[in-house]
Amino acid sequence: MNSWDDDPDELLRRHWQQAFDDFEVQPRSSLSRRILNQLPAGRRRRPIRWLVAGLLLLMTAGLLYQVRFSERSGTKDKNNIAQSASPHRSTSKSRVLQPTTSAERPLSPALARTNSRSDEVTASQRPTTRRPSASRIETPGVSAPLVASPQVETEAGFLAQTRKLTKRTDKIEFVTTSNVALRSETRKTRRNAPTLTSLSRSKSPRTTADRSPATSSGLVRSERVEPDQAPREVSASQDALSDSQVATNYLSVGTSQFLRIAGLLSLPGQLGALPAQLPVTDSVSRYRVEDNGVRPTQRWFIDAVPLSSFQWMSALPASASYLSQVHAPAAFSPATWGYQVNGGVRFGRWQAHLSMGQLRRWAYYTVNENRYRVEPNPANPYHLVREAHTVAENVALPMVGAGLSQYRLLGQGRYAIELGGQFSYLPTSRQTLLGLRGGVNRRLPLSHRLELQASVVIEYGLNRLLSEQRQLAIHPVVVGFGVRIQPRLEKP
Amino acid sequence: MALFGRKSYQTLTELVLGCQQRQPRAQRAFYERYQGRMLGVCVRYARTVAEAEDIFQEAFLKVFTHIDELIKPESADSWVKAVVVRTAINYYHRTTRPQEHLTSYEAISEPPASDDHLQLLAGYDQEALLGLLARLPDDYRLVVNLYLVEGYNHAEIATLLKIPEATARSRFSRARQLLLTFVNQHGIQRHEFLG
Repeated sequence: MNSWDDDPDELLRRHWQQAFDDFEVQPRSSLSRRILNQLPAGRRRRPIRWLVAGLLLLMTAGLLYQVRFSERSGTKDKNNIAQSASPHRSTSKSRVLQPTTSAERPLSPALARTNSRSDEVTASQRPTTRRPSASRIETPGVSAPLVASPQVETEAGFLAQTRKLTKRTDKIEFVTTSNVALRSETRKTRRNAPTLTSLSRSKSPRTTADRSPATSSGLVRSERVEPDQAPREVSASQDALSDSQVATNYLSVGTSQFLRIAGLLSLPGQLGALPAQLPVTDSVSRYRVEDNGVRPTQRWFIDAVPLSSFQWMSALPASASYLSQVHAPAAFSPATWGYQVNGGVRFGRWQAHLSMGQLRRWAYYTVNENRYRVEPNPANPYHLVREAHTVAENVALPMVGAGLSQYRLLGQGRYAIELGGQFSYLPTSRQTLLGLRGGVNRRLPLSHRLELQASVVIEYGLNRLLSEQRQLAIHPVVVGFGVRIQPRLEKP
Repeated sequence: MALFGRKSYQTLTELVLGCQQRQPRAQRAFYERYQGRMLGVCVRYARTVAEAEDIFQEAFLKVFTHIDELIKPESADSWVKAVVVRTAINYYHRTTRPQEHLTSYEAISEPPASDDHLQLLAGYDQEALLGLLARLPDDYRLVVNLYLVEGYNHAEIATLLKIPEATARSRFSRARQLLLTFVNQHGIQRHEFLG
């Protein structure tokens, strides 16, 4: 038998096989990406697709919610307006902003009509035979008189006609010009019947303080006519008065329907004695208003935050690490810039958001290799030196997350600060990051409905992130400068 | 179905079937299952880490291209390793051997291969063995890997390397002597160092 067949190296073989049985070297992330991207048919589905799909879903849901709510509020507003204008209830929603000198005089429709005639208030009125105050419904391209049915009280008739005449796309302007308080009609209304005339119930002169809560509430918006305009109004013809002095207010029914209600002074002679009690125009907002003053359809916000990250990195001490000398040289430099897009809703002072974006890990470190070379030195001619090379990497870390924060307005509403937390998930490394999030926003008006906020955001990660090979620990501290667009904030 | 639709593959058979259906998640899971071990195999055969990564990449592309040919999914472990080893051998034939220069190792006087040296060699840890492998000439390293670690016999090694069996035997013999030389040097060095 050949001696080779005896396999004299069995001991050696067994030991070598045991030694290398669990020998593993984790490939670099760039190598893994390169391989996975070259796979035959299945190109790896990139997580950015999920992120984009999620954002589109979020935006679509928000849009549908807004459209749906607008439709619903368009239906409800008509009832809300009338109910809030009930003469027997003086709530914040139906705050009376119409000071009239004759406000306390109960007038029947007939009397109101009489007074209207006596005061020669005929401008732009189309008095019907049964309505004390003339009304006009103006629809672009269509102008139809609003006529109450004889058996129905004024406000009920008004509403009935409104419902009949309004379509969602129509703009209806309901202008009431009279020198008598419309309130006079309400005494005859049913108890639960919506009444319009309660809008002119207040006796006290209006002040800015009176106006502001109602204005902020969004239900009743008043435009006060300046006192110096009053004599001209009185002396001028009532036609001109109704056309020029009565500010146009719109009560919208539906999305783009507006109804304006204007009340005039009942007694022109009292104008000089009571200059503060001047004609004002009350309008009823189209929106139902929440208690905190924020309209439900205006709770949304969306912001984009370019993020620059400082990542304090270290090699895990207890791992079989091949890394040493880890550095993050480019903290806050352009190479570290990621982004985050947030969209969410506000509830009072709280705001919840969903986010997507990516961080960037930029570092260089030394990787020790499984190679050795002999470097003779005087003390040891066979001195073995382990070879190493330096790696500089810039890796994108996609993330999705959700957060909750609270905001407060400061500096007379010019600034908003927010503080909260965010939970993020990094799909590529399947890790989670819990962080504290704070920011200071400068509020800038963008339009009459929207505002823009320039913000500085800081996030601090409460837990560590590990690199793909789980040899590098990352402690993220993220700073970003963001831009947010949202409906104008009301002071909660 | 888990979060983000990440499907989990309970068995190796499911994983292989998913790869055969070109499912990206299955391919990724399959890759992650073998990446560490297979790159370790490549490091043993290669001269440098860069070479190891080249072999690793080429091997995995072969794996995913030819995974349809895997009849028994449960034997995927050995099949993948065989593909990696063959890729390393091909890389040696294609790249390493043309650059190969037999060094003066041939002229090294062979120390007597005593049992003590073999015992000493058998007692080296993984890192030290890697150091010894890296010092071997390329063809010797190939034979040592195939014989001592992979467990092939000389006939199989001869077939894989397309060399006569006697050549495979003699290469391994010389490689072993060279390893013992290294051990001897290391022992002397250690003796000198420790006094």
